[in-house]
Amino acid sequence: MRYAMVIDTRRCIGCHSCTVACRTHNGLPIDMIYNPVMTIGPTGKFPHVHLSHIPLLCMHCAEPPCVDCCPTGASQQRADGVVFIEQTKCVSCKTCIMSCPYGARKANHKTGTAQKCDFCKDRLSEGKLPHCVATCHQKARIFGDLDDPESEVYKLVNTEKVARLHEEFGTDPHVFYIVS
Amino acid sequence: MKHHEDTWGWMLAADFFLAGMGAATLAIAAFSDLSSEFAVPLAARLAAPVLIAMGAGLLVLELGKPFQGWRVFMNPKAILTFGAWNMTLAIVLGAVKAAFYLPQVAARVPLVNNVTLQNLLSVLLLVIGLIVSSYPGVLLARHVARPFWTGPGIAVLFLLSSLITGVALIQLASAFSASSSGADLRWVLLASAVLQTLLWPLYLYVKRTGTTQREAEAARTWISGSSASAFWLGLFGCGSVLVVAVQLAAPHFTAMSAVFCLVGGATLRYMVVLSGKQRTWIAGEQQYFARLPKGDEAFLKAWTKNQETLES
Repeated sequence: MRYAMVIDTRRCIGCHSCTVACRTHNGLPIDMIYNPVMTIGPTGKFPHVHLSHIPLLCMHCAEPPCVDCCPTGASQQRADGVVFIEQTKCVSCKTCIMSCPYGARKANHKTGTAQKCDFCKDRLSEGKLPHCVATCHQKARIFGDLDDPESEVYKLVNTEKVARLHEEFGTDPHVFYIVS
Repeated sequence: MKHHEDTWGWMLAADFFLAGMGAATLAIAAFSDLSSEFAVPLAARLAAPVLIAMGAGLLVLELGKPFQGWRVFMNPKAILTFGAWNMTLAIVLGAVKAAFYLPQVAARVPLVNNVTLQNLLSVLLLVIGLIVSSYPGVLLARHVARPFWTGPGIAVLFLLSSLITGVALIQLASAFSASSSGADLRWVLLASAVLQTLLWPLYLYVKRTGTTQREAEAARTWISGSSASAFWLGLFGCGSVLVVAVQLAAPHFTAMSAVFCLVGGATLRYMVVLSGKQRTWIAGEQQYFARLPKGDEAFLKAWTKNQETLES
């Protein structure tokens, strides 16, 4: 079992529903966003104009620099690939925040801990999808087991033209973007 | 309200400066004990563990949960844990070693005269001192997405700066102590300041020309951008060139050149730590966060006030 997410940038319309769903259901502070949606463009000249959206989130890397650098052992990775922070152990030393190439971790000044997207791991244990996936009305976010050849993520990763962010850093991110 | 990424601040920079200076002083003092070529004043020996402890204190204050700071000792794979253990050892062993030089202790503790123990302590302090002097640079160098830090160069520069500030502390202590014992270190200070004067422009040149676009941009900030005046006047001018100039023109002004070294060392740590705010951005990321509310908007103030009322 290896959880991964595929984001189809051809389908994403930049409605920010995923951002809102994540913030609402996870009860995030007002200045914290786990999954912002970047907008690139518009570029080009009419009628050849292009606008694209790139939703960001924790990449749940196979080689997460945030886990090894954590001095308290709060930053952990499960066998299914989910990277998460054990809040009781975190002291917000910010080492993981600094080491993450994707800016996926935020400091919560009220709790004195770092926080991040954990693929809604509590929902996963109940057999449900992460909130951002469940709420995406464009079906732009696809979630599943990358080790299962029957899963949609497996098929998409192996048949579509996919890209990953900052592969050059060697973190082996497990969020894949389908690009046109 | 801060939507931007939280990064390390001045307290970590101060920790790197104080702990680096203290640890380098311990290493130099240990070397002097083993080689017997020069003497290190007692004031410097006493100050070294205190400075490392002050740095460690600032490191704890930087945490989100300072009272659970002991947790940073828990992951042996983390470089910060490795640094925390070495800082602790440096404080304890440095204080023990310094205490051996106090006449009151020497008279009451017979172990002080044990040469094997003294040598063992010196070897340990030499190794640990060098580790604590260099581990912050190694820590920063491993951040692949922070363009100014990534690569081994920053670790070398941090170690060199720690040694310079350590020598400067010993020079200062010598200048204000009754016995003059810093004469031999003036050449060490001059040589290391010359090396620093050469290495920093080389580091910036390599970043600017030989690596990625984002590293070139980070170096440009230092050469001609927003950090240029602090770099050219503080780190390079005061911390390197002036030290060399004073050492060559007026070698007896040891205290003055030592103070210049300390100003340069502190500037270096502060600038390098703050340069960690620059990350390898993802397309559209900076524009996205720039568009978010800052927190002083009327609707947000009203909303926040309402939330606070509800919570209370």
